[in-house]
Amino acid sequence: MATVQSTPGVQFNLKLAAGVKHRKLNQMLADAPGIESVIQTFPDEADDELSRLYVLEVSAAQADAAMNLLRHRPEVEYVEPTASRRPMRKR
Amino acid sequence: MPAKKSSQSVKSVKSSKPSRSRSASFAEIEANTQPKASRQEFLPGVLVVRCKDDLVNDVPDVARARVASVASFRLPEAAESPFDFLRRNNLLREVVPVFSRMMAGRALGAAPRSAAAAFSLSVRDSENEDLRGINVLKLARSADLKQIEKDLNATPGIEYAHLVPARWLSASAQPATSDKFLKDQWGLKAIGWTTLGMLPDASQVKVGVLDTGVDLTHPDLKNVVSSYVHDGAGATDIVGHGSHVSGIIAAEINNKIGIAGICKCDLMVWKIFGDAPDPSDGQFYVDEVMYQRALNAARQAGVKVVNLSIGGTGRNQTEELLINRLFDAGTLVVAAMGNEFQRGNPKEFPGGFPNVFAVGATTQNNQRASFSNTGSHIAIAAPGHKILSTLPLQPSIARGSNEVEYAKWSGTSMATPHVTAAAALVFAKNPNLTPKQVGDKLKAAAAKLPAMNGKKTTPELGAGLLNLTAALS
Repeated sequence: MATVQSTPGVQFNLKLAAGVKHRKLNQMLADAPGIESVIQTFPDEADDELSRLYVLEVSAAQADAAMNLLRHRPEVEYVEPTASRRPMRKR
Repeated sequence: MPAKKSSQSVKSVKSSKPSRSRSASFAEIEANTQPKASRQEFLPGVLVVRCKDDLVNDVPDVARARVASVASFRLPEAAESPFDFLRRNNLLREVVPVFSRMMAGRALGAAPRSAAAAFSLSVRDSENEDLRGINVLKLARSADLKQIEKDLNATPGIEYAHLVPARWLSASAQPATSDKFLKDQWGLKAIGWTTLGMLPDASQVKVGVLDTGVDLTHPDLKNVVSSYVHDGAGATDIVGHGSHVSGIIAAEINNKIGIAGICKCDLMVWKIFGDAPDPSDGQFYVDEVMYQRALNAARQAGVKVVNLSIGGTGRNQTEELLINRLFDAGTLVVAAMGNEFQRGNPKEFPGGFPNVFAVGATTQNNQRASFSNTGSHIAIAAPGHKILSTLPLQPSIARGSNEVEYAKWSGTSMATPHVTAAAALVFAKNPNLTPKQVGDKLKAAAAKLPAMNGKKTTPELGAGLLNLTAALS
């Protein structure tokens, strides 16, 4: 079982499998622990692939459990912790 | 891994677009650089001359000569004769070995009118076999170019001489001459910007900067940013990083103040950072939703070059998906290699993705900056140490107390926009190239540095140091 590196305010990127509708995500997330909010990244996007992208906010305490539940769901193409990016200025 | 909550709502994407005043701000430059006649066929006062290799067989190697002796170098008599004529009649201003790896002005010292010295450099010190022997003759405007062209073409040792078509001029502006701090912009000299005869007009090339924001009130930036999207956060560039990057790319040229950017392009800025540092470590991190939306918006806007002076070690499928979409749409995505060489030299992303053009940093001595990450994925190197550029006018707790208006910053963040701007100029000259072709062109043109020991590419410097002169040839 993979361990999620989590801190307060953890975010996941989630992509629904092809053909899975938004309402299915809501049902699925109702069963997942620690989900605090769901942002559909491109809600107005006609492009099917882009419309299946989400950013989830998950409580740190339940991030591992949520990740393991979601990554085994057939409705999910992938779910991953967001990767931090910062300015590449050398101080 | 710190991750912070997005302050965006699902439908919060709106654009905030300041009015454009580009045409007015560049009017003076254009008035100064456009030909007086409306349909001039050739550039006045300029000839391209290519010499044969053996013409300089008996000319000393400039690189090994004392500067004081360079002025006395002579070509064989028959070849020197036309240049003597030009000098005697005060028609010859300068002979520029265009593709010499050495800084021509420095190498030629006080002998800018020495054809022998310039030709020697152009043959012995050419950065590229295919470009060997090419020189530009700068002549008085009163010179009879057609007669001189004819005379040179009849001169032994001259492969060809030709006039320069004026269409270059009609789409170009000359590199800056009036910007106050130009002399402190060592990076421009290192990449050959200051010796470019003409700067392609990239004003139709959309360049996207996804960063900490931009200060639209800055006198060197206010006329060059065509759009600024900061939904989900305030307009202020608190960190200053985005303003610094934007200035390197496109600070207004020839406005008698501050610095010169590398290109005049259509600069679009997306703020992808929130307004508060992460409480866990006090650092500013990219807001995931703002970032993903900006990547997609840049594609939809038809941006040709995206600058990502950001990095981190985690790999992210959604980020890669959106970058691949950009690449497939014809956009070159340029990103920083990272600054953690002395902290394990990790592979960082987005620079580490296959469809991203990763940039390492060099110092003024043309060496890899000690912090600059290495790896087989590096594409090219560019100046990234003590780079002077624009900062917001207002002080901020996120910067040093004196870091306003202009400051010298270091990082692969600063190297990346040099390459971004160069790519914009290449796109301006070659609008139909794919992003891969533009990247390949930049790599093929890169100057091989001594540390590369004759190799075509190295994990430290990629294909070598960005070389605008060759890339735009």
